[in-house]
Amino acid sequence: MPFLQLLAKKEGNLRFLSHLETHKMLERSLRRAGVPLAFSQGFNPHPNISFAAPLPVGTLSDYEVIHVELAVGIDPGELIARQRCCFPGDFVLLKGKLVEKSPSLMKEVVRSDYRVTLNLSCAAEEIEDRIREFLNQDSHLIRKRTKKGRINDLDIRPQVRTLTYDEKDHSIFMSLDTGSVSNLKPLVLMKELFDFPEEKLDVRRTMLYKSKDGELIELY
Amino acid sequence: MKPLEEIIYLSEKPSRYMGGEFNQVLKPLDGDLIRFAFAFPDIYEVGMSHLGLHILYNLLNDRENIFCERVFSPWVDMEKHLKDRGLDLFTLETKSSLRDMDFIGFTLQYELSYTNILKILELSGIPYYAEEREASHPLVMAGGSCGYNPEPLALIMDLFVIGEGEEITLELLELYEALDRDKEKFLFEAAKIPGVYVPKFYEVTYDRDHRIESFRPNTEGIPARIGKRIVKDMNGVYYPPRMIVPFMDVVHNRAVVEIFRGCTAGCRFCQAGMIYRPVREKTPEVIKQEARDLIDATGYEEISLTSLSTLDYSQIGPLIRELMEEHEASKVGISLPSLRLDSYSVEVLKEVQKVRKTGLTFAVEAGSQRLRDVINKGVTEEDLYTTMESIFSLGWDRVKLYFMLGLPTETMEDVKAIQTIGSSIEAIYRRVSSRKRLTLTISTSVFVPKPHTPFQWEAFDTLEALKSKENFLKDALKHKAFKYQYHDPKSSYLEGVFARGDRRLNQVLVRAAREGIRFDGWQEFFDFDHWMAVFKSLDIDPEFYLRRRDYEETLPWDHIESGVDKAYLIKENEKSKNGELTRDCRRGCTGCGVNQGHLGEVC
Repeated sequence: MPFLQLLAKKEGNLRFLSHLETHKMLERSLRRAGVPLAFSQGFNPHPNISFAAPLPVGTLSDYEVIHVELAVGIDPGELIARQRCCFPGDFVLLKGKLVEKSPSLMKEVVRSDYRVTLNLSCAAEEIEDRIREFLNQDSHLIRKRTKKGRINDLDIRPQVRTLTYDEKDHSIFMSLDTGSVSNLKPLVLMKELFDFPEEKLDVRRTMLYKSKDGELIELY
Repeated sequence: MKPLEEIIYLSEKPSRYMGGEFNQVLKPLDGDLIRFAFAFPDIYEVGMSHLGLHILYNLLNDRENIFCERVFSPWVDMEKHLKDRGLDLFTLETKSSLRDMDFIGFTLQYELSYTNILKILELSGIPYYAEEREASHPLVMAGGSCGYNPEPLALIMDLFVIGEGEEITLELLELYEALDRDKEKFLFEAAKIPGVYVPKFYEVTYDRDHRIESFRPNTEGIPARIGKRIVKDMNGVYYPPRMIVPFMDVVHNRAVVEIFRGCTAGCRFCQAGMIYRPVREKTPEVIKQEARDLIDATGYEEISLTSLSTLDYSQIGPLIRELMEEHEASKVGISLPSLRLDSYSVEVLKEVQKVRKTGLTFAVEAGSQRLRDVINKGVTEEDLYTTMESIFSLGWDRVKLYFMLGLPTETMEDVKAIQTIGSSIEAIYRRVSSRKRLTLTISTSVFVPKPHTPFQWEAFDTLEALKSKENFLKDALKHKAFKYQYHDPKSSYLEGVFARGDRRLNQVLVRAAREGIRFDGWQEFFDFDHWMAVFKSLDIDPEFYLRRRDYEETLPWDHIESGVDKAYLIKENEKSKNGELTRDCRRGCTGCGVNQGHLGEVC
């Protein structure tokens, strides 16, 4: 059955939704829009909807990529045009297209860009020094609890591909490994770098990448 | 993030406070809007599952000049964030303080949420007592089933609405506008509207034993008695074509269509069964249209057909079949809140379960036939066992049965009968099912005598007796197929005190709130000893409110009329003593009086 691939923005208070809540919100929005969802078999039929990379609670996003399995094909442009009938105001569909078979989105993602705006005062030199110090390290170990509850050392230095400070809008830009092979969350890195209270940070995901022939390209 | 967003982010569950759900209403705050906060004195997950909220919210917001917003009890983490930062509690829609409202309307569903009402006022910087509030403060009103005994909150509320709120709430807001929003004038005029109770216009005197000596209006032109309001035409009454769809998983996360009001069964313990009389059904056409509108507007995957006794709807079979047909393709399921113990229920179940399989719950209420006759629960052991047999042969393995402990005249024999029922059902399962997966949940709650019921004069059972009944069942139901769930009798004790309380309890609530008591309905916060210390410090004996009362005694809620005659309640109480049954009044009027007087010819 065909898949609908969507590119969406998550703004405003919707940043507070958990991944599960976002998932349910999208399902109900699609139902309201009358999109013909394909359902699983069994006593509790559920639609097949997947996000490329779960977004941590509190994070805004310019770049959410989603796959939805359809019972029959639809015109994605028509759905985008009338989306305001059915989606919460802060969830905006930017693009949509039909894809034949779903390659696993989750498996494709390798990297994300984030911009972290600092809502607190801190001298530019101090931030830049700290970033330089981090980037000059060969490795930076953190303790991480595994799913089984064991505590492992994890080297996050190689997971950080870009890290810069932008004085103009007092924000930090970072490009981090994302996906099933290597994954680093922006707040984990921020905590290693600074002792800023996390509620003073506005984190926004700006891009997701996949790898093709050894090169990074936009996921959508 | 702004300061409020910061604490929303820091809270355990941000989606309790963020607002912005689909179908939320926003209005520009620059106009002359009458601002109304619908306040639910428990957390978001509980409040958003309450149908009354969705009805009133949309009813009010459909009026151009009214803006209704929501507020819930903040969980303890949010309470602390608010206090630490000196911020007011806020509405979900515009994050406004409740002090910016014209009205705060509380819904009273549970006595143990009363302290949460005071906490909401406190976190908004609004004085607890009505007489301490000024013209600049909002008017504080309440409605809902607990409002049928308004007295424990009489000094806190400016006004109570008795009965169904759809018509009267709009009348009140129109009156407020017509009187140029003069709160004093408004209260005086409102007190003359049928269904409105303004406590400050009534005076109570007590005798030496604290029994009520007199209760009467203290102002010319104020009616002595307050009759409830009902909606006469359920097919014409407002029903919301949309409902707010929570982001988080709330208790009842589905589209709800109310199919009728009232109940004809006449169970003698049941307050809802008395106060919501008479039965008024919607037609299947209206129900199907409302279901269609709600599914389109919400995107829900389930429709719940709600009422006090859904299987008693006169055309339930055809209705369910037609709803299933209409919604099957989009995989929208139908759910029924409660089931009857009869073969008809099994037929309906077969139909419903084509899409989604859910657990099954039945209310048996009492273990022995004798006691079921006392409470007028028309269920026989044979009904129960035949129903179980059909259910098991249809493939179910999970059943839940509800009982009450502490009913009038109950002895250990009646409690033992609950165990007998458990064993018999287990034997039936072994006989008819080759599977070995039975989970029989037996759940007991504690009977609390409620106002406006035939048992309103009865005593609350003693804590010792209730404890030993629970302990007996804990032992008796030790079997791998059984799960026993029970309720702390101490919280029922407090519920019983406030359910039949009088005005003297206002000071108890205020003292408790000042000492930080709230969330009494939550086991992790309920502190019985603290409560007893509060009663003691005010020299008020809680047992006074739990005792058996004479028919002659003036009850604190006697000025409130549910439409069911006191004489009828007395007759029912007398019949209960002999275990005499009263028929379901669909099969012939039993003369409760609700179709007399101002409610007139509704059944």
